[in-house]
Amino acid sequence: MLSRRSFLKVFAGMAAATPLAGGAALFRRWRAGLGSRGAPALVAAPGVDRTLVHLADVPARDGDATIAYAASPPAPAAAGLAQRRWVMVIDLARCDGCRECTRACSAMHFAPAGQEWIRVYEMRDNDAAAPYWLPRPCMHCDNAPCVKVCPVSATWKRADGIVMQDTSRCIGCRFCIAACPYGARSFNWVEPPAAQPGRGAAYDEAWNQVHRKGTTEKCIFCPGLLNEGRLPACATACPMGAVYFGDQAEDAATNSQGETVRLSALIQQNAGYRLMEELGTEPRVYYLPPRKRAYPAPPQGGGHAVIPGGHR
Amino acid sequence: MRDWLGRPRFSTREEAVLASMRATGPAYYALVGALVAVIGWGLIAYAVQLRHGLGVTGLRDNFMWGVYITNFVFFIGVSHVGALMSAILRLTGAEWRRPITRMAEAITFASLLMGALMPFVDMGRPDRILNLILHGRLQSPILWDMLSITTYLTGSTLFLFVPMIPDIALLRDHFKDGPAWRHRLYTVLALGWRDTAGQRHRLETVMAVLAVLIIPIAISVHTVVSWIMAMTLRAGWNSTIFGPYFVSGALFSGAAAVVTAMAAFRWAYHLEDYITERHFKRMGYLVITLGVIYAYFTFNEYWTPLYKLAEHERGYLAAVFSGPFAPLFWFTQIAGLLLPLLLLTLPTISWVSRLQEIKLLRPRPALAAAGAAAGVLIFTSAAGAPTAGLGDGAIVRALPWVLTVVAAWLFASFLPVFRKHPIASAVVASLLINVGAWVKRFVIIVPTLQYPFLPIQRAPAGWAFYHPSWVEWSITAAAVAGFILIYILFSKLFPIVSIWETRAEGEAVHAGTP
Amino acid sequence: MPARHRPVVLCLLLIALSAAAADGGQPGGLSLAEETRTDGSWLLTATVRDDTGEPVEGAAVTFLARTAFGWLPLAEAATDAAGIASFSLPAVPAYREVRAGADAGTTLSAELLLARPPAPELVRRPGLDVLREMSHQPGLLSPYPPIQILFVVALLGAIWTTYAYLVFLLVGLRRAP
Repeated sequence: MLSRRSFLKVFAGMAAATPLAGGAALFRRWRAGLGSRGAPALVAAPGVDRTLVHLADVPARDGDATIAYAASPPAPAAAGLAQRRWVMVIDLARCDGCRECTRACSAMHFAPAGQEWIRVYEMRDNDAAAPYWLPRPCMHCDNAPCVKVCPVSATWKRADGIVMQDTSRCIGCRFCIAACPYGARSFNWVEPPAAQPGRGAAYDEAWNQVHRKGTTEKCIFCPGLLNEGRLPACATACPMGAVYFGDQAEDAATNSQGETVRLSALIQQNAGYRLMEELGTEPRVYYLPPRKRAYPAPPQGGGHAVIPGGHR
Repeated sequence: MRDWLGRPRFSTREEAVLASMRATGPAYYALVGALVAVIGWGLIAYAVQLRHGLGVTGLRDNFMWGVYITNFVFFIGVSHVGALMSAILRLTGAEWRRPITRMAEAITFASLLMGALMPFVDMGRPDRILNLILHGRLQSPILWDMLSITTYLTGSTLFLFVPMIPDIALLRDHFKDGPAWRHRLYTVLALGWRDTAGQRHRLETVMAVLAVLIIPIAISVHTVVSWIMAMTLRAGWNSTIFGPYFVSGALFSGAAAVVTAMAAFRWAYHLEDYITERHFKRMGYLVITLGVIYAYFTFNEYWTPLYKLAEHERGYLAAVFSGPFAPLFWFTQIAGLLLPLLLLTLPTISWVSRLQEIKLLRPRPALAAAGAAAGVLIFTSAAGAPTAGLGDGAIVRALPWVLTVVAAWLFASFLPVFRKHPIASAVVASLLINVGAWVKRFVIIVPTLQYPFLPIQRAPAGWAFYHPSWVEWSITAAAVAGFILIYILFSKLFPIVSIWETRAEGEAVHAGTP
Repeated sequence: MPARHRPVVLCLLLIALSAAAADGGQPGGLSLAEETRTDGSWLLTATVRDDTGEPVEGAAVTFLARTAFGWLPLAEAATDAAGIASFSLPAVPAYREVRAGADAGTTLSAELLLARPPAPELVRRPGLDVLREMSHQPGLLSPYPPIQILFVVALLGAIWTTYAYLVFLLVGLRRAP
């Protein structure tokens, strides 16, 4: 959403530089329904053919997509966006193990202590191979073992590929944790701290900021942010631009540095692979091998086995 | 054996069976009181778990299942003996089963109740239990479990009840002890049984149908239970033979439980007339057969991955055979399988008695050695940490071996004693089998979780290994106590040996012809 | 909108209208046109003209498509003698919005919203659809082919019917001869 404040910034910049264009922009904004709070500045009306819109002359801070998709109503969190097929690509050659993704994820979802929905592993495939970092979000498998075993549909597959989790339905049998080969699921063993003030006052499965004792949780690709046209928290936070996220149907992926690349080319040209392909889970997260790493490797002996938090 | 109206009454032989129904006295109430106390303690532990969440257990993200699921698999396993004894032996016409079928069926009933309870104890949100019905999905093996266990519980309750109807009618007519509600209960449950030809025929029909029906249901139940593990991709659980493997282990442990129950009731209520040494011998053969089948499945289950040593299977295999779980695993294989089978075959091994000729293999030196070993252990641990007391690390490492050698010595020296007392040896064997069966379930479940596909990293302190907590042990103890209590209350309410089924052959059994 | 702002806005509106008029009459710049083909693909044609309206040859034109999180570079082409660079946009992926950018002295860009047929609805069998629509988190019946339901219902139904029959027999025991 283009907030009123950023709109004013836009307006000020325009007015100072080119009053003419600024006037035109204001005119269009007025036509688009000035005054209604949160209304986008410019609407790329998908229903109208051949509408010529000039989005590029509005220097939106949050990326163009903020404006273009703000007009569409938010999709119901349960069903997902029918036309989307979300995919994540993680470039292991760029990951330097800073764990900004983990921090951003935990901050975004107020993840309870001891849980890491995207966990950065220190991996070494064999003695001859170099060590590398492996960030592991939920793989959002197309053949998801967790979805198969859930007895109450507390976890399910959305149309856009996201494996969702509803902690208001979960009975806490932990079968999904047993079934997940990636260890991507966490359990609220004790009463989680109350949600921080802000968005998470009421439970919304698209944001998953409220946590409940005795239920399972995991990475859900931040559908709340996706609805707003923003990258998931981990992808935005990666200072290396190692986490690409995009829509397979559009064959595009974007990272935190604003690079938008062709998804198929990214995977094919860099020998992209999926974790434990042999298990047949059909993950929606691709990895680019840690080739020609430009960053320090993880320590050989491991040693970061313990994280703070977690009850005893 | 008939009263002046010509109706059958209880013989003196049958009065022994009714003794359990008249049981009162300090020993009885002390036992029941102790069991109730253990159950009460377990309820307190469960209340703590409800209040604070599953965090009070030793379960953690990597060890999402532990003692509760072990209990679940164990109790469901023990429950299989009912189907085996009542159905298979009934269908095959093994007449020696008659005095012990009801014991087996009661074990099925009691352990099934406890087993079915365990998943609910294990649930993080028992308050949402209705979701299983409101939002249940047939895709999930948990739903299969729910459906099959419900079906099996209903079937085995029927199977326990139906052969009891003539006995209940006898009690209605002749058993005047106890409060009035007992008599009313017998009147209702006897279903108007008058022992006519038509009623007998109908009862036989119902029992025949049930016997055929219960066998596939029982097998499907434990197969489905094993699928909770086998339907996942985890190395060590991802196995195609888990179904028959679990079923064979279930029958083995269940048959052993029947031997324990037989000995307990024989000892407590002097049922020597009904349960003879021949019965223990027969049951011994049955346990041996089932144990050999189970050993075959165990061997098959471990040998195939051990030969291949696939990447992801190395971790748990090493842990089980020589790593942290090795003591447990070898306990199940030696003390839970090999020694019991040896104990049960003792009566047929003649050279055992000659062992006593060797001076070192007499009980006394072995007992002295064991006592000395225990004394040294207690002294050193009392003096400080065992490591400090024993000084050298090499000695500490050798300690398990020393204990094993002493235990083997003790066992060998007691072999001739066991040979002289076949029932005692059968009881020791069956208790070992059941402890081993429980530990084996634990060894199947936990080592696999210790070695997931991605290594356990960045776990909070204390989360990287599974240590069951006092809550889990308390609830486990309460489940065992609950099992025994249900069993005792059952024997208080109904005759534990089928009177009408043993009456016809009574004299024959009495004469010792099985 | 407060009434005291109205004159200002009207003033700006006039300026904007004149700006729009100026836009249309500008001879130079980059214009983007599309043409549908029978196979569903699109031919995008970018024409680059200088300030005098003459076509610019050899200008590098970049075609981009709007994706969920940014503009995806599709292709680069140089303009020919007529100042035209073209790019064949395949039918799949179905981009709605394309842009052409060129660097001919100044940075030029033009966007186009393509008229796409509406996305096809997912075809579902009506019977299952009804069940599925009850909840996005499918329940007892919805996600399964009927054969599985029939199998389970038949198996369990047979067993429980037998149970019921046996109970019926037992209840009738009293009346048995």
